[in-house]
Amino acid sequence: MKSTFDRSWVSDRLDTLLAAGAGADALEASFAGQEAGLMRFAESMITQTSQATEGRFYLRAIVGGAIGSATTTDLSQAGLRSCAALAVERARDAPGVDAAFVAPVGGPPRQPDALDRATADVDAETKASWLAPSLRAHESDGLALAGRFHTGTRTSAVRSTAGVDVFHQGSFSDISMSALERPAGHRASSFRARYVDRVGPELITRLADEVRAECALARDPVDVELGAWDVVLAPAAVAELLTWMNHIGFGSRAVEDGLSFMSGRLGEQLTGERIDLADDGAMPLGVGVPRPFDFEGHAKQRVTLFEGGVARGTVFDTRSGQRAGCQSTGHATDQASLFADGSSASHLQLAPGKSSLDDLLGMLDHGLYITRFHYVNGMLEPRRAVMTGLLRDAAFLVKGGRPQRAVNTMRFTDSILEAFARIPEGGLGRDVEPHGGFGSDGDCTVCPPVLIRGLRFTSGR
Amino acid sequence: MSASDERLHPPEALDAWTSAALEGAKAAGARYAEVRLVRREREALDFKDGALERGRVDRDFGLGVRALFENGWGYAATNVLDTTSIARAGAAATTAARATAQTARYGVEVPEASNGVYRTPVRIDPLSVAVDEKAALFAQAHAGMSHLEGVRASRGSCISQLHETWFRATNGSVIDQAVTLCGGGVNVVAEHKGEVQKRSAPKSFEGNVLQAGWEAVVEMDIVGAAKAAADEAIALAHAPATPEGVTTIILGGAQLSLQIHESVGHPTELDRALGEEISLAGASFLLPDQLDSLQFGSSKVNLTADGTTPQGPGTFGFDDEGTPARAVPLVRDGRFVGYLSGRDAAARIGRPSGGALRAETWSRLPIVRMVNINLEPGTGSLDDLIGGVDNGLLLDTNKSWSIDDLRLNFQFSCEIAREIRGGKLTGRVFRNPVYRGVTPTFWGGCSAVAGPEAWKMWGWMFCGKGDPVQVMHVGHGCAPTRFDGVHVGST
Repeated sequence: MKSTFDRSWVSDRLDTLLAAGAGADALEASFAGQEAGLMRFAESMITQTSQATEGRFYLRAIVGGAIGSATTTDLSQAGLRSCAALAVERARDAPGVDAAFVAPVGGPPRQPDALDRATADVDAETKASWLAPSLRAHESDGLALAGRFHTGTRTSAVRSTAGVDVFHQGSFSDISMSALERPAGHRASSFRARYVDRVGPELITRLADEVRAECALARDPVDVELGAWDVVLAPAAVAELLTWMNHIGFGSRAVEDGLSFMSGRLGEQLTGERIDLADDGAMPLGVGVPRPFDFEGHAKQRVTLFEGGVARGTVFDTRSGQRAGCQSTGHATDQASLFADGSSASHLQLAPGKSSLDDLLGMLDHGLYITRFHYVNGMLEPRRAVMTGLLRDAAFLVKGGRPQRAVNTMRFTDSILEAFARIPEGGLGRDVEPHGGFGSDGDCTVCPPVLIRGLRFTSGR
Repeated sequence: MSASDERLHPPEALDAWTSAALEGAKAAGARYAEVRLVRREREALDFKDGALERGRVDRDFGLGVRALFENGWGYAATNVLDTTSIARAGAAATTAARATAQTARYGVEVPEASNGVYRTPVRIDPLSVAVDEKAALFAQAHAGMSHLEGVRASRGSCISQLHETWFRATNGSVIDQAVTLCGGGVNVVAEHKGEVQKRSAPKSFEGNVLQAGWEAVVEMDIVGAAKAAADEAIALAHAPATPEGVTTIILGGAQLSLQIHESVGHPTELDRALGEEISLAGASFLLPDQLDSLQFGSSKVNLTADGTTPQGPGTFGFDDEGTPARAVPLVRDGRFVGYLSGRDAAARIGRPSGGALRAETWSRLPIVRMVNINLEPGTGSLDDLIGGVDNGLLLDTNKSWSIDDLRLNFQFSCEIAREIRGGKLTGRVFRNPVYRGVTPTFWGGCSAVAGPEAWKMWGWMFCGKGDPVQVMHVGHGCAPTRFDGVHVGST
């Protein structure tokens, strides 16, 4: 199926915006579009099927060193011209004397081969047919299968009077699967998710089979004592912690306000020596959904955040980089977002170790294997990266290196910087998984399982 | 629509587009279809240290079609607004509905037609107020606190939004709505010997955003509130950690509103209770067979889902499937008596729709959402509540929140804890307070709710639900409330 938002369609409208804003000293026009289909399922039946074609244009204008911006999903010529006029008007009224768009930083972005037409075109009927055997299998076992199957393309483009001119279109598939004893959420359950750039029926079947098998093992969970537990965290749980570290620590707003654990501490040993964490939109670990440039059209640079647990860097867009005396690292965020502000990491990569999952579990004499966290929040004490959250879905008591009974949910509250410092030698897994971010279109975290000594659990139901 | 918008999109186009969507759905086999044309204009201003840091205006304009085939719903949305593309979206909604229908288990009734108009009463159109005027207010707020010893930074934000919806359906429904939201707030960061503390006013995160015009911000006294917040941030940077123990707490509205949101609003969403939001958000401890029997809280606790409360961000004339707004009791005298619902979910438990099916915008399909979830007032003032506490804490303003997937075990941290001794505030404050509990036990410990004079509406703009997530503006009216036997500590 032909994309509505192909290169020439987008290019024509970027030209319209730039022409309409010609009264400004400098202009930057950009586009973000998504053509996607969503299927949600619960109780082993399809509950929602939808399709959306959504494109949004952005214009930032500079007049006299002040910047103004406007965005629109009104794709008509009149709508685009009105957007441009508004951005210029806002720039005329805005304070500031030193705003500037800069020439492409870091050279032209690498253009990954990230468009799989077959993934982009999976339609609702095909999704239903891929899911049907798994829905039937779960139902025949008395289980509810639930999840999402979201596929499509994301298109982005930026063109500026400073010489930026980039276009990218990539496919994505965001999948989650949960198998649940009924009533769903009250008894045993199991979860898997993947965020990938191509998908076929075998991945759907594999994830569904995995949750079905694991849910059977998770029956009749027992309470265990609160306190410090040695834990093996599956990648989905690790990804949640890393995502929160980004929210509170790696972006320009938290760093500038002094609320980040990184503020004023570059070069210090902030966490464990086994933590090598970078942000890299090229997805160097070979899985996930790449992104070649940021919302300003600058190539996403690889930024080392932690090297051997030592704080090495944070991420910048043009304006925060200027304030810090450096160039953008290619981490500008969505200009229309009410949440994002300044720069943010978006493609965190935690370097894997050499241990298999069985090796990690084998290092637990008396501990827990945790497949997923629920509702982590990292705002308690961001300077120490204190976070809280709960076990969700299958979690198992491990004795003598072997998973035993499933355990009931309980809440952890701990400094994640300190927890990562308690990863022992051999405590990093080798097999990485790609996970999407909560509510952030296109962000992708890739990480292995990890073993942490003494994660602090503070309350239960 | 304003005059300029009428020039951009004349009413004749609206009729042509909505007709094309419905005809496209019907031609593809839908037995019922509805279309929402949505136009939203939002101005968001961020201030740093009193200066405008970032201003942006977002104009959102597009159309979504929901089609019913047999007993399955499908949805398609587009902002490529020509009649060919729109008709194609209508057909795509029916194709999606066919896929849903393959596994559908429950009957779906075609609704009766609804007709009406709703518009927020606004004294000062917030989108017509100059940016300079808004910026001056936040500059003044910063000037009142920047000179204070220990103040490191301040931030402010202001949101103005007009959300217009034109709803048409094959049953003849015609509904036009225009909802205006406006609000904001400030926060200040203070530091003392490496201890960094933040204090917000009137509420953390987006501030307090109400369904109102610019008058809502004017009436907040942001300048006065900012100075008080700065004094408290400095005090907190010098303060000891909150002592650990089980005690009596009073929650102020800026915190209580989120407590209501997380431990009452979400678990009373019927789609969650039926297992349909399990893929991301989770389920609910409130199962349908517990309706009218489960003791949710003490006899002081009365909670209502009300889509009609003045100034509530969750107020409207009709929800996004055309059901008129209404008030639905959720908890009466402590007993669980009702759910938030839309038509289909409500039908499964034999009740009428609660009028709570809402969508963020045209590109998202409507799901069960909170409206205004209000804690009904009790009697007396905040001082009366404090007077009844021999040894306890007054906690306010949310800092972090977390609750399990059944909405039972929760933990919140607040910006400030004020000490109460012998029925009075001592003036002493503690930093990093955290309290935790289990929902029915916590509400069961509710010993007093302050009266109507202390009751206030609190707006939350960014309630996340759905998968992928869509955000929604909701309201929580409440007065300060006292809870006994709560575990409190510090991070």
